Amino acid sequence: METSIVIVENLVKIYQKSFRAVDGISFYVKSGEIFGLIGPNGAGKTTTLRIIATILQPTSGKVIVGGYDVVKDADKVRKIISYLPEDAGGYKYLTGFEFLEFISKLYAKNLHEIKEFLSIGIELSGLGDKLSNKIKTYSKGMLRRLLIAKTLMVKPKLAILDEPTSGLDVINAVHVREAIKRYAREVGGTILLSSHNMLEVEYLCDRVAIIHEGKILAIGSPKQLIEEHSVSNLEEVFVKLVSRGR
Amino acid sequence: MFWLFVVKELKSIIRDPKLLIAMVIVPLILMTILYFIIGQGMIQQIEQTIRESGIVAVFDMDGENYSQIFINYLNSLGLKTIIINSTNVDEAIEIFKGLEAKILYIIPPRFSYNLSSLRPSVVHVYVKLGALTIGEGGIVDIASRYVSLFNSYIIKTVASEKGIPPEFIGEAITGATRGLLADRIIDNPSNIVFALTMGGLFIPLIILMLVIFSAQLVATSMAVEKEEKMFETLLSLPINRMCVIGAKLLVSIAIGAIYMIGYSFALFGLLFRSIPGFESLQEIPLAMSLPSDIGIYVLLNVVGLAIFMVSVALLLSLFAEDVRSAQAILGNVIGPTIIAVYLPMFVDISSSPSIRLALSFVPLANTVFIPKIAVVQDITALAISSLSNLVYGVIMFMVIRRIVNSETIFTLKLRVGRKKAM
Repeated sequence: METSIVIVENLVKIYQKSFRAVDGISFYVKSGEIFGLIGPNGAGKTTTLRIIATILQPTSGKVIVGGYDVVKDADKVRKIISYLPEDAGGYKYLTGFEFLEFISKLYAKNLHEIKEFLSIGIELSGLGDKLSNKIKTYSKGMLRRLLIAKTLMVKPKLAILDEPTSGLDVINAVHVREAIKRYAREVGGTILLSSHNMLEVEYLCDRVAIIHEGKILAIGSPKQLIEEHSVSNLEEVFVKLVSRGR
Repeated sequence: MFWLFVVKELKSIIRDPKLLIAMVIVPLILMTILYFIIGQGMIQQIEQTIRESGIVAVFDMDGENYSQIFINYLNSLGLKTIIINSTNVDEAIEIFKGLEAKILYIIPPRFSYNLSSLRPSVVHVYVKLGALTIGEGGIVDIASRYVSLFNSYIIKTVASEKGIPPEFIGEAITGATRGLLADRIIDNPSNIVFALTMGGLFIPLIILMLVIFSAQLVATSMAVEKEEKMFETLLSLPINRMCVIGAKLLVSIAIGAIYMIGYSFALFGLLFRSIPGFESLQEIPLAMSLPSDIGIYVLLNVVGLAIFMVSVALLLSLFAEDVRSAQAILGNVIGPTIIAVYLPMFVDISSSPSIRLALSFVPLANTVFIPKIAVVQDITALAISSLSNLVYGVIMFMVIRRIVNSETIFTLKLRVGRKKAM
């Protein structure tokens, strides 16, 4: 807990006075690790990430990011995080390079840092010459690679990726996963991601939390969870946990 | 950070056809509708003029044969004449104020003697001014025209009586026209009415240009963030959210102002070329009729209006999920906007101060009304007009700030539109 960059305690989010999207969850994310929130659609993953990214506010409970409260110190939290929503886009009439430059300038403290961020972004996107094309000409895969690059290139203390490979073909999904792995290895940043693809999470994450109907069912490393439940992969862990709940 | 967003906004506007459509086509459609409305308004006012100028009052200080010929001549033109019995001009004017007639002719003493002696006479003409509309501008012209018609008639009559050619007499009667506006007598009223009515027609058009154009632009640029799925990302960026809003407002108002200035030059350039006598507006002693600090009142009013209207557009655009719905939502407020702009055209400013006061609280209407309020020197209404828009603008800005700095900015559409998956 001492080196935790994210601390979530008894987090509750209620929509329209009755629907409990997140129902009293608690977890922490250690500095430098890749942490995955896994669960089916509607489990509460996106809501949790949106609260951590200061877009939504909790109904009750506490969320601390880098020592700052996401409600009271939202401005400070935004300076140390970089967030990629599931259904994100880019400014269609900017080129890929202009978009990366725009984001770099928002985070950088000086010209040197802008150049450094851009260099990382260009490399992470793997889009090469296509960065000089307008974003409106990009395929879904190209756009997602650009957005992953813009999220990670600014070297945030915490990168939040909501379903980073959702809807991508195999080649683009592999590229995105590799970019995340490479970033974590080379820069050593903390990544909090969500996915309903449990095999992907098993490959990427150091630790995972399995979330279902707004509640966390289990937390641990993929290996630890698989061993504890005597199954062969995380999907089977999830099925076992859900059926036990019923 | 702020300027980074300003540059980004400008790039998007230059490159995005949707924004270009909002910039050019939508205002053009609206302007076409407006011209139609103005045309209808002018026709109604001209009809009203014809009705109102059918009754004239006459104060006859001569009482001899030629003054009676003048009165008979007015009757022969189909006018109903009301004869004022009074001992002096001031009293006659007071009586005239209470009459239905809009025009008062004062036939001076020795009118008949001068005519029979072939000396020119001056008929003093007073026209009641109230709404300062195009119709009233027409009444001023008509009042003078009756005098010049009688001049032609009497020259022929006198020439025939004296057995001399009409050219020998030259000018027998001239009319000196003054306006009566809220207890004040105004010299050269046709020019002032002309200036104010032209202003009343075209200044609203120009202000509407600024307001509609800027509102369209800011609403569209906000909706583009959602349509391009950048909104959620934007809310998580390390920048004060009000900077983003401020950048959008600045760019929209700045482009709107440039568009407005260009439009004004084009419009007034056209007017100067196509309307005879428009150049003479430079000679109008308008400044004498207006308070010296009118510029400050107008500036405060227009700045407040721009902030208020663009803030309204911005607020409405927060409900929209894409550019099309933003345009649709905004379209619903365009109608009331046009009504507010052209409301003062049909209001008599010499009416009760409470009506002036009420209008000075109505955004847009007060902008159009402000020169007329200045003419009657209603300082209270003037001050309210110049400050109320600013107050509304600040209130709207505070509402937006409250929304922007909470999760409401993100969830607003969820409550209004369909429910979104968690």
